[in-house]
Amino acid sequence: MDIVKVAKELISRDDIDVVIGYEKGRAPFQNVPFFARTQEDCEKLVLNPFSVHNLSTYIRSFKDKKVALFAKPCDIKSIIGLLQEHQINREKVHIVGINCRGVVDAKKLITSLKDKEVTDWSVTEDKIIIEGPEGKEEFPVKDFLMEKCHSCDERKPALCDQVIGEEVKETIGKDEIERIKELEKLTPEERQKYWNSEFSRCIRCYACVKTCPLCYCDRCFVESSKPQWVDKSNSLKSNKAFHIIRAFHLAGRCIGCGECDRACPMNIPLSELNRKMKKSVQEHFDYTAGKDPEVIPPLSTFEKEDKEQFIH
Amino acid sequence: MEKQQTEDKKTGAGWEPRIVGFVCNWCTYAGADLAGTSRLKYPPNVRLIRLPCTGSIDPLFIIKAFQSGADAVLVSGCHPGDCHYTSGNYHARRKMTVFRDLLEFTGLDPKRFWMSWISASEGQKFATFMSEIVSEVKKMGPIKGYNEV
Repeated sequence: MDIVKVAKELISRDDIDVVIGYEKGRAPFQNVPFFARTQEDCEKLVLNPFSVHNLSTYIRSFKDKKVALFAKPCDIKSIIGLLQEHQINREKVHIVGINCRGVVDAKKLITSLKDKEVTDWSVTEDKIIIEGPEGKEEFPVKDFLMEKCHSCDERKPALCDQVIGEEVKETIGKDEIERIKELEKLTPEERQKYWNSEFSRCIRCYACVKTCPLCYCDRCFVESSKPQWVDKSNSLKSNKAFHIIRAFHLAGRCIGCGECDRACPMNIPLSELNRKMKKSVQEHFDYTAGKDPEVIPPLSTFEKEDKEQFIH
Repeated sequence: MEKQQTEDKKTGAGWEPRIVGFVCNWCTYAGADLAGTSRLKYPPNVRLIRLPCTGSIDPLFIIKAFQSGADAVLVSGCHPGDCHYTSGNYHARRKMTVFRDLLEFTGLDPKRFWMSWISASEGQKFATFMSEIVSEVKKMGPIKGYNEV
């Protein structure tokens, strides 16, 4: 799986202007997005379990150019979402699908290392190698996978122009809505207390908004000042309004890439709200996001026979 | 003395529920009007906000209502098939089904969010329904935890 070769071939094509991939990051245990425009640039590209970013957020910013990008199966689901909403042109995207075994959760690994000094790091398909003043240490990749990888059921790309990597047959098989069911069992007061303690930590950095591929509105409701729906301070009241409305705006659209969770500097479990919406949409409208680019999203359409049990 | 009175009104003996109703102009608002011209009696706790259609109700308004102090929120419009704008109420139905789940998940008692179809000729239904909402909300007490700063 020589991605440098793949990238060089793509960039040499007349119609492709940029190849979006990953290069080794300066912060430990994660790669960073890299935009290769020349043959020389392509030399820097890497692809390994540290390639965690969802690169589909960048497609929209290359308006009139044709873009090639490396996309994991979860990233491809957000590309499908963008296609459904006519935000990108299928002919202007060349998707290199990746057969994926999962990616590393850098936060989890850093927490487990505690204060250990790390001078360099690298990763193979199944081992994380950490170098420090006391020598090398190895950890299995599968012990430090992202939460989302545990419940991933689609380890091969659903939509792509070419594939790299060996086909992955096995899945870990955890239920992603197990946590949601746990929360649903609490009383309304307990849930309120839980969410109040989470939302009160939000500093309104909007990293979750910036990183989400489907949070693309040029003018977000939270920026509106005439009328001001949500005030700009990070009080619990306005944090709550912001996150609840944002979760609603992503209902039926979020595909669970988990970038919001990863980007949050305060470790707020935002994906729990989105997973609840995913469950809700599945139950009420039998719809799952990120499968078919031709289907209209559920909240943009209706059926005459939609259920209305709670309506008097 | 005055402060105590205001406190009582908010949570104590003098408390009356404050309910915000987002209603559509063509059906429910007209139905409410009919209840008025027919001199039907019902509790005065509901404040109606008139919109062209339930389809134009953004869940943002509902959160804003709760955070401004509403003890319950009502959404009401034309019956399915009778929407003045053909399909607005169908969209509202889908939105509110999903939004209700989200409100419940983040800790709101789902009995504080009401939705109904009331047509322009259903003045009696409107009056009866308002009485029902007010009596249910009185049992639940004032809302806690949504409008705290």
